[in-house]
Amino acid sequence: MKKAIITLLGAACFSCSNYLDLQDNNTLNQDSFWQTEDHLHLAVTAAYESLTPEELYGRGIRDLDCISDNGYNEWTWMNYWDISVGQHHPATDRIGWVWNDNYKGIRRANEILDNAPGMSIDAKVRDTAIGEALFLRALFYNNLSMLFNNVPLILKVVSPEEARIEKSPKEEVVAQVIDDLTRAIDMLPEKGEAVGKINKYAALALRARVYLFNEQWENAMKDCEEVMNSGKYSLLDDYATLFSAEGQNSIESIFSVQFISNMRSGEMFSGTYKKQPQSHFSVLPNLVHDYYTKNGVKAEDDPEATPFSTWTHENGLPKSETELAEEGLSIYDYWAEFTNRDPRLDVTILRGGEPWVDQAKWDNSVKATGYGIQKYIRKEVGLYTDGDRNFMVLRYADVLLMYAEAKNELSGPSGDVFNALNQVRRRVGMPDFDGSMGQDDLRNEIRHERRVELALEGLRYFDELRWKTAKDDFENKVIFHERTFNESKHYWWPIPQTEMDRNPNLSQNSGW
Amino acid sequence: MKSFYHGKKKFPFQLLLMLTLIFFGFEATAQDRIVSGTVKDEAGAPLPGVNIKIKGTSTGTITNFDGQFKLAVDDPATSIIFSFMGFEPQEMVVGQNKSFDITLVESTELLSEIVVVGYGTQKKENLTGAIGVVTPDKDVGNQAVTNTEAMLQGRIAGVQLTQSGGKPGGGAEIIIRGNGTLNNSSPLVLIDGVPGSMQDILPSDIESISVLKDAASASIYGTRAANGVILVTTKSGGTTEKLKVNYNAYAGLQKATVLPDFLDSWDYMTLKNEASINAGRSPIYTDEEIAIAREGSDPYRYGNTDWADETFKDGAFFQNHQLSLSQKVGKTQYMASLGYLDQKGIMYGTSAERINYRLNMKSDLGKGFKFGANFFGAIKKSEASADTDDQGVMRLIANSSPLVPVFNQDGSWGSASGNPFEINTKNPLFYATEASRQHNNSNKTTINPYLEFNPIDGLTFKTNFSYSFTQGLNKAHKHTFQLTDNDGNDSDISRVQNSLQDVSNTYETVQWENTANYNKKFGRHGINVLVGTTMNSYAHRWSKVRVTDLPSNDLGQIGAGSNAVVDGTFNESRLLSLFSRFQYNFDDRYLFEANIRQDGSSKFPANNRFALFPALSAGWIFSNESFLKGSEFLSFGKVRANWGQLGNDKIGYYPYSQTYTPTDGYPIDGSTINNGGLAVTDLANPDIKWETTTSYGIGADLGFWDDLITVTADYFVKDTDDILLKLPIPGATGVSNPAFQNAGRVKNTGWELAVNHFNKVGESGFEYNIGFNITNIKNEIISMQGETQYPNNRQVNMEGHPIGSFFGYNNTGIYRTEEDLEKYPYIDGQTPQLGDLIYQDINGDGVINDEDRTIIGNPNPEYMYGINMGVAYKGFDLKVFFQGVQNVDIYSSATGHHSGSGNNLMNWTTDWLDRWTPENQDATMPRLGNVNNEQISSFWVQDASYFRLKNIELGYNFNQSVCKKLKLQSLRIYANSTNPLTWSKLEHWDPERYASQSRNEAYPQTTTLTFGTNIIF
Repeated sequence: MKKAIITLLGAACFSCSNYLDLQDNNTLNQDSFWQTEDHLHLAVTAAYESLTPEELYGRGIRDLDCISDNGYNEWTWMNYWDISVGQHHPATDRIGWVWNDNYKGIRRANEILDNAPGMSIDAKVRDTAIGEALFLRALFYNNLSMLFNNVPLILKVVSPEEARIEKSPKEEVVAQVIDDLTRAIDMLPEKGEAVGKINKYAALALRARVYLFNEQWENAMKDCEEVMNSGKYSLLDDYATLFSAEGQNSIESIFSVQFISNMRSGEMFSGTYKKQPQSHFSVLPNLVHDYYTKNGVKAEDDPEATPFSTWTHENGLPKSETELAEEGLSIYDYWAEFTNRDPRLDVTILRGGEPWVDQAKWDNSVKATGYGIQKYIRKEVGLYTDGDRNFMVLRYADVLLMYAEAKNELSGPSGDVFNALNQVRRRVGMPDFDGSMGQDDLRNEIRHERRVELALEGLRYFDELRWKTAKDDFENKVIFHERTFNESKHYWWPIPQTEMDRNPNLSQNSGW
Repeated sequence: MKSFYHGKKKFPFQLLLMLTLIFFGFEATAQDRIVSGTVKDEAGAPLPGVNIKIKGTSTGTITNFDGQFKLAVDDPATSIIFSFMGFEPQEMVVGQNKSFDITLVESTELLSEIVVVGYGTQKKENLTGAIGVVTPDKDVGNQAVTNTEAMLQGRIAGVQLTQSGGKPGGGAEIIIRGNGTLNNSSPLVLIDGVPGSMQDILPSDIESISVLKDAASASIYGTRAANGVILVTTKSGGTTEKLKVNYNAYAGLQKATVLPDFLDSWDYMTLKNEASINAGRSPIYTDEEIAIAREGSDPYRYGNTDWADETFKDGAFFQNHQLSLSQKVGKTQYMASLGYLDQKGIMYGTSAERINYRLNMKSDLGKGFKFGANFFGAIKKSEASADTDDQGVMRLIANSSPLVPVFNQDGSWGSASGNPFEINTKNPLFYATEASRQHNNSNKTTINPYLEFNPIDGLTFKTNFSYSFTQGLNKAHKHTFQLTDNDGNDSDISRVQNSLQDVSNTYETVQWENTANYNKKFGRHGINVLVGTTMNSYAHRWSKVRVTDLPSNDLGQIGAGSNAVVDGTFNESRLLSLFSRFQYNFDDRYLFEANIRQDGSSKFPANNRFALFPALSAGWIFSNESFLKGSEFLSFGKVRANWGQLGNDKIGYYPYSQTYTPTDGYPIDGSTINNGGLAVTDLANPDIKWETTTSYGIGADLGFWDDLITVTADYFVKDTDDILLKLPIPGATGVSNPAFQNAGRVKNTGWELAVNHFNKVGESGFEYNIGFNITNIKNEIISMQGETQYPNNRQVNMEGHPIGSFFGYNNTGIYRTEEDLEKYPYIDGQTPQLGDLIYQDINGDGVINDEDRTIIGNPNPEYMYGINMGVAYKGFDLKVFFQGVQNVDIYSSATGHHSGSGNNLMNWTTDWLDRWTPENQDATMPRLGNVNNEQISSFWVQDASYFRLKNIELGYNFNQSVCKKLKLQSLRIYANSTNPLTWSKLEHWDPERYASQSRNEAYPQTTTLTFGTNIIF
């Protein structure tokens, strides 16, 4: 009996140490991953997926317009308010979110760049994946260099220790971005195997943007020319369609971030409520007032038009029907005035009195500024934060405008420049540019054209930063509310406090 | 001398039945004559192993398996003492009798003197470690605890228990002797040796709860014991053939202890306007609108809704029934019980039900073998709102405008006021009830068979097997709806897509333990040796299915929806252990104990898989020394010291393996998602090893004046090293979730004191007792490798400070004069105005920035205490129990308590009527509308110390004559109230809540009033 019990006790013996060897069979690990084309496809999907968070192309890039002179966001928890009025600081949460999400994308690209070259799979598949990863890494670093100037340049999969490095100067970051895109152009196919895939021309267009943002006019112009000469892209006939469901992945789209509803892959930038689109986002009167009349001139200069300032309060807020009546004015005349403007205004913004969802006349009192956003917005109440619209990062009109800007900066006005610009104008039925303009006047007109063509597409803030025009445009020209733009530090964001806390080798950006 | 713990008792108890069969025969000397007899229980069954001792000597014997004994005595005046665990001892004078038939009576106060320890029991006076004991029947009474762990609150020094609130089905957080880790700090709960949760057991099934507080007592559980161990022992089967039926039931009402007092709508409008203007925005409401609200002339457009009051009810009903049967049939004892709890929540739309069942049986197989099996489980159901994402109902209550009516005039749900600013008011009552439903169901079953064998006296083998299976199903159903304003126009409150999510969890725990225990006394030397092994495995399977677009809100099954998203995982961990204990007792004066355990765990890589956990402790019962014997003043005295090590492995399953985690998908072709991607989202650490807690301490147990007053005092240090930390990593790493590293060290230092007094006043029938316990704990992070961790924007884990300390600016006042504006520097780049908060320039550089952040509060209470009082007179008894914590902070911002800088519908508590305005310059609250007043600062830190009457119970036991008439053994009726009174500086919210709960969004605690009865047939 004793023997039996001793055997019993001994049964739980330590010799059977296999008992403690368990494997995580839920997913692949460092040893089992990076074996097949399917594995590479999974890594590439994850890299594309890093474009989609709220902070980036899911909404945040578009929302950069509300820290520019195009938009207004008073929802303090979103942190855009602080930045727009110049009250942001290193601990402003959104600054950290944007930083982290761009680096998350960079890591996913670096995973591919580190591991794909060693995989023994079809070379074309591998090279395409590497090209896509290079494009994405360049896109994220371009965001970082535009917003933060100098950032740590991380070009491989790093451990937390390896990530604790000093910032690289902006020039070095930009040079790397150009280098990545140059390699990507070589490796990417002319046409992606699927509509959402990055191809050679997406890389060219992005390189053009990076050159342009960094004032390398000639290179920017050449890249634009290559895209234009490829014949693969053109403007979509109808500007409004471009931002609707039918206009997705159109001939104008060079690179769009893809979203679909219901599958944890929706976007947040196109939702509307019954009463208003994008409740956090109001459009500033400045943008509304900046659209030219149908005759291609400022309303003040057009005898056939009445400037909006007639119909609004000093801060640009449109007057109500009663207020107008007291002055002997009719709100219908004010509404009619919108048809007298560049048609892009109506596509881009929602004004009071316009039909919206089930309202015959939209009640604009729900918006602080009286104007809502309409570009990209779905016209029916649907899944507010799980939308199915794609976000165009690069489109052909932008390439034309980049070309015009680069060539004008490089060599002044020319037929090519006007030709590119007029294509953009003619699409919406606006008159051609005045061909007699000099370089400086044309520069201003090109800048204006970029604002109205690309409004609420997340490019205005970047443009203002690179043109160094933000002090005047944001602080002085925004009439709706008080803003402060301190040129000694507001042309770049501070390095997030959390990042400073976690990386002792990092120095804060100047001014902060 | 009398035993220490219970003056009423006159004999020393023995150790666990199987361990206490002590050999005396060898010591028997020549005797004059032999007496013999049989010892039986009340039912006439013979009792083997009864200890028989000649009074005043160490001479004696034990009964054989038929309850018979023989003993030599030399003097007819000799008294013989019969004692047996579980029975009242009996003393007989031998006289001229040669044969005795003794009937021992079952003891009712057994476990108060025998303490359950790891893998055994021990006489309380011989303990060398720090163990706290609660005997629910005696100590707790009929406190209306809807979660069983709540019984421990305030009862044991060193045990901090915080209730999660009065949410039906809610649990509690238990921390033993301070938070020793930055990871999961919940203790190990073992029910008759089987890992489980206290929620699995019916309070009335519990015989005793032992809390192993120090390493000396807990290290036998090794790696799972670092946070302390709670041993629950359930009642064993009946000891008599007569069936005993015990029925206990109560029913009563609950209401919130306190609800926030929000501003009336007209004050809300005034403050909103003020905040908007100060923030540079236009005012929202016109003076006319404010006047309408004040007059109440348009209640459906400009009403005055008290959302807290509307969402909670006074008098939510709950009832609890517990029925148990126990009996001994032949050689088999059993106890069966069934319990039912039905609780409606104080918040509309919340409720819970629970059924507990248990069957404990044990059978004497003869020849030293005993077989037993415990079968028990719990079925739980609860219901609440499924809209818990980021806008839980508690938050909506504070974030909804009081202007909006609960219902529109036509009876539909309100969601807007007459002002367009409020077209998106999420009606809290609607969200609590009709907007969505969440059902949590779980079913847990445990089967625990065991076999004991004692081949020779003092030696016991036991093999103990258990299998637990839990199936949990959580169903969240979000409905589609469109709410309207009072005129029937659609508001912005709608859900255009319904959804249904089923989450299924199954947990399986298998444990097999084998122990051998040898207990022997050689003259004045007593030894006890234990060796054992454990095999344990734990597996968790999780799966989730979510569908949308169900054709009707009434459809509640997955198959009815489309767009299915599925997910699932399976994880397992295993443990293999060897352990041993050696105890030595010299003459009941010198006590010594050593423990050692070796654990192997699958959670660690092969090179760090095994670890050794030793512990040593010693005690000296100085009152048993000859020089103190017979002291009137000191009836008992013991000092003890202990040292030991424990481990913690609550760190997930495979933290050493670098895995690629599925990400969300991306529609590369623009329209479909084949699957998600794979990316590194959590870093792994291939060198990860255990957290080790070294704990040491000294203690004393004293009894005075025949134990009229007893005192237990302890000083302890709990020093946890190699704490697994996720130290913050640079965002540039590109991974948000860092790896665990063995990087931290946390030290808890503290003392505990418990004083108890029990007395009977002469023969008057008046009895009373009073007890008091207090614990002081200092928690400090000793090392984090120089790193600092920010669990959120207001808390910090920083070397030299307590875990989770609040961290921010130190607010020193409000700018009240122009001189203040000159004198006190402000946030870099910002200009303060009168009425703004002043922040202290800690580093004196003339500007307020992140360098000026400092520790501004401690969420860990410095003192916790409990006071227990009871009086009994004739049939009446009154139990009163107070409990409190002192010097604990909470961070109280956002919900109901905010700067007003945001453009939203958040209401304020009435405290904010006293905000700074040019007309009210002596205000306690700052100017509204400045976002900088919302910086993390000490302004928002509040003292959450409290002292509360936790429980009061008045009962009456009917006397025997009444019971006999009713054919009952006993009948008791009682009235009970929990949390009737609270003293705290914190207003509007209950101070008792988890430290992590800083937004004033905890489900409120409840005050209950119940009436009940306890009947024994």
